[in-house]
Amino acid sequence: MIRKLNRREFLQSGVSAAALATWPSWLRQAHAASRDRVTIFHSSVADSNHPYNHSSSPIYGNWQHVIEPLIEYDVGRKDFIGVLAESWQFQGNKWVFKLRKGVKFHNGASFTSKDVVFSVEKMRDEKGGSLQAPNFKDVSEIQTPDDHTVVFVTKQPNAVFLDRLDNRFMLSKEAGDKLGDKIFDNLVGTGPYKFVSYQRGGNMVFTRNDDYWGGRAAIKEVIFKKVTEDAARLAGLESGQADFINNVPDHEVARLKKHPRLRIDQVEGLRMFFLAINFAFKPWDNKLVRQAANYSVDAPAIIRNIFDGIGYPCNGPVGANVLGVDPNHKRYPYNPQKAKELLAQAGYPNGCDIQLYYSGGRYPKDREVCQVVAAQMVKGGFRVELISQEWALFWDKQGVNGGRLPFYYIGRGSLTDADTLYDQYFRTGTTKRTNYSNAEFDKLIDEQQRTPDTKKRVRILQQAGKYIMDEALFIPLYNLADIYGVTKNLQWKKRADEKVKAWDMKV
Amino acid sequence: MHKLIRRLLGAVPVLLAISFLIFLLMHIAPGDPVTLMLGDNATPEDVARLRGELGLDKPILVQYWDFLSRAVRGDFGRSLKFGEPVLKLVGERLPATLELAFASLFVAITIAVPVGVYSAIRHNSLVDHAGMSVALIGVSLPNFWLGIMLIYFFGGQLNWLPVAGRIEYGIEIKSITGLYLIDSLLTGNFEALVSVAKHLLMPAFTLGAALAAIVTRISRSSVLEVMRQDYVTTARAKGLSERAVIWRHIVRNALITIVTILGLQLGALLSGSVVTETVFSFPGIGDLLIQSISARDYKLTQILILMFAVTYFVVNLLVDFLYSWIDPRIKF
Repeated sequence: MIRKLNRREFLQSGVSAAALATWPSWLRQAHAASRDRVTIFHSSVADSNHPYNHSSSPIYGNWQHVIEPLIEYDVGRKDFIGVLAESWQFQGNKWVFKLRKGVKFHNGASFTSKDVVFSVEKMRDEKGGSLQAPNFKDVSEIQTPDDHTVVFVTKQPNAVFLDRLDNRFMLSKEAGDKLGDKIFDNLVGTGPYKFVSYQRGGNMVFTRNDDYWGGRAAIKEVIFKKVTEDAARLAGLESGQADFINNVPDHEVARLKKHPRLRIDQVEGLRMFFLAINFAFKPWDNKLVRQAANYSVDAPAIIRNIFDGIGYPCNGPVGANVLGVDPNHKRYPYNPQKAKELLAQAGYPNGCDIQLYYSGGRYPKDREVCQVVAAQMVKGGFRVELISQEWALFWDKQGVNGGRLPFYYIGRGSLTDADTLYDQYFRTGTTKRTNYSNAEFDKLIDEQQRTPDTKKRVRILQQAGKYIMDEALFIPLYNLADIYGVTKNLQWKKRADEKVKAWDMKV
Repeated sequence: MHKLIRRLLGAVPVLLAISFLIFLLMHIAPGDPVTLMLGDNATPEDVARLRGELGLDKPILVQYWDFLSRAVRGDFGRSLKFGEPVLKLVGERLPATLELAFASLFVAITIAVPVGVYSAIRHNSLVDHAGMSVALIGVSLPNFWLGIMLIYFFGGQLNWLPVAGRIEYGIEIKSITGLYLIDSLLTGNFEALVSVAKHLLMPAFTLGAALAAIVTRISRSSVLEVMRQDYVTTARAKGLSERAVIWRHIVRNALITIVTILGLQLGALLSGSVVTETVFSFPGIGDLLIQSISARDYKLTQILILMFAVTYFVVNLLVDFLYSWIDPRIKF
């Protein structure tokens, strides 16, 4: 039997039904993927509108939409390629760059050598907020013989100067003269995109530069939105609020691969993870102990069990994509029995006590990694105490940079040239991170830093790499994958350097 | 009026003491902003040079005196991490946090007070038990977890609400107060209003849930206590309607406790905003505080914590005013 509704009940049910029917539709977010606009949810977007106030690869990727470098490292070719520079030569203590002709800034001005000098001066201006000045500390003078030639004079021959010049972007001098301190509020560059707006902690928006010297990009507008929470980036991608996200957690990869509208793209990252050894502490000054430690750690097992197999173990002192890698190197095989024997030879027949430091939460699954490393080393005869520190303390002069930690888990980002790692961690006096000092090794590093011929340099770096492995100066572990979630209709050129470039995308 | 001025003047030494304490603690705490800023490539010489440039190599007391003497002229210095004046950074972010805090308070009060009062009046009923159970769950849920769950369901699965940010890109809003909800209402911008409300809904609910749970329980017990008072029996005996008894005699007297708790809980709301803003990428000062502490950005952290202290002070001042409005017998 159907009960009659009175007027109030009828109206109430009518309103409820209308609300139910319309609520989801007007609440629902629009899907964004189109040739007109790509929305990228990224965990790391510029924290300031000052393009030189950082030293982070994803943020270099943001700025490169608008402002461009002279040269750029091409991971695939393992060599530098020209962007605003057409060619370059290493002449003793000089680097001579020939600039690309016919390049225009977004304000119509031509790109010349004066813009290079202006930009480098801005990069050297630490008081003005730049954090990129140390890259030019060897430069004693910049000469501009003509509009399309720039000469960097260095205090001594410096073959690795190209590495320092990677990601150093060029601004318009004309815009700088006109805008003064406001230059960063409305950035003028030569890039494939023009600057539209920047909101700290919000959106960074670029629109296509139709007159780009390198050809027009396919996507008209690109929005970078800083979303630090993994779950929020994933939810954004799944709902269509974002077309592209970075840092997909590895445990989500299998699920997203089955998604009808999404794709997972992964590439070997340039951040290398390793266990650093400090020679100022016992027992690490003993080569047999260091070798025992290398035999105790099973990096492939860590990748298999902690990172769901998504990672790339190092077969030598650097990853496979790094300039100076030697394919003939082999990592120490996992052999806990051999480790115990070496420890006994070193005078520790009953094992030895060590401390392993790490900064919990800094790197993906670092706690789990260090727990497994500790367990593996116990099997090799070590007794391991695990100590976690907050990053600011860990990285400080009371920690890694003061040479105060005996043994620690660390990652080195944007590692494209083996020289960077060898110089910073093993060359006498560059840093205090390992307190290692050996005249023979320093000679190799100095020699390759003065060698203009890349092939010769690589051979010297390989020699240095062999020395590192033989002496077991540290425990190389792996490079992890950079994992991106992408809508299926969006194509892009995967890159190992953590940069996301919208001009390499098409729908 | 002169009482208000006296209260404001009384706050000055407290704020000075707080600022000195923060300054001291930040400098004593291990971790160097310059080492963190310069990253992997920095050598000890690079670090030492930049420390000198930024004046961080001076003794702590000299640095504090520099800070104070500039602060009285309205110059709070530049952020080490962002390289911009700290006041500009705080000005950009503060309205977002205030809007989120007000929205969370609104969520908490509109849910909690009616449920608490109703539960007390219908003591031991099904509604009472259900209300108290939900409140217990609300108080037990960590807000970052609740936030992630909301993002998963209402953002990822249903696609009803945006998962991050404060307003959709492309919607222009004329800034008058900096509070987007108010500004969009004042300018009659309905499109902006809907976008801002949609962005605010999940963070406000996340932040307000625990507060709502606490206020529900406090409202209930406070109303129950008042209901047992003799003057309530007298009011009923003299024939007042039940509605008049509840609103004029019970709720009004119970409000003193509720307002006190709301004032005290605002501190929790502000500290909760740090987590909530991070989960929702909501561009407020909570998110900024996390970044500034991680970077050991002394100047920015200093001003942000001072902002929290000032807000706490202002809210408690308001609570005192509210007391005398609710109960005229209380003298301010």
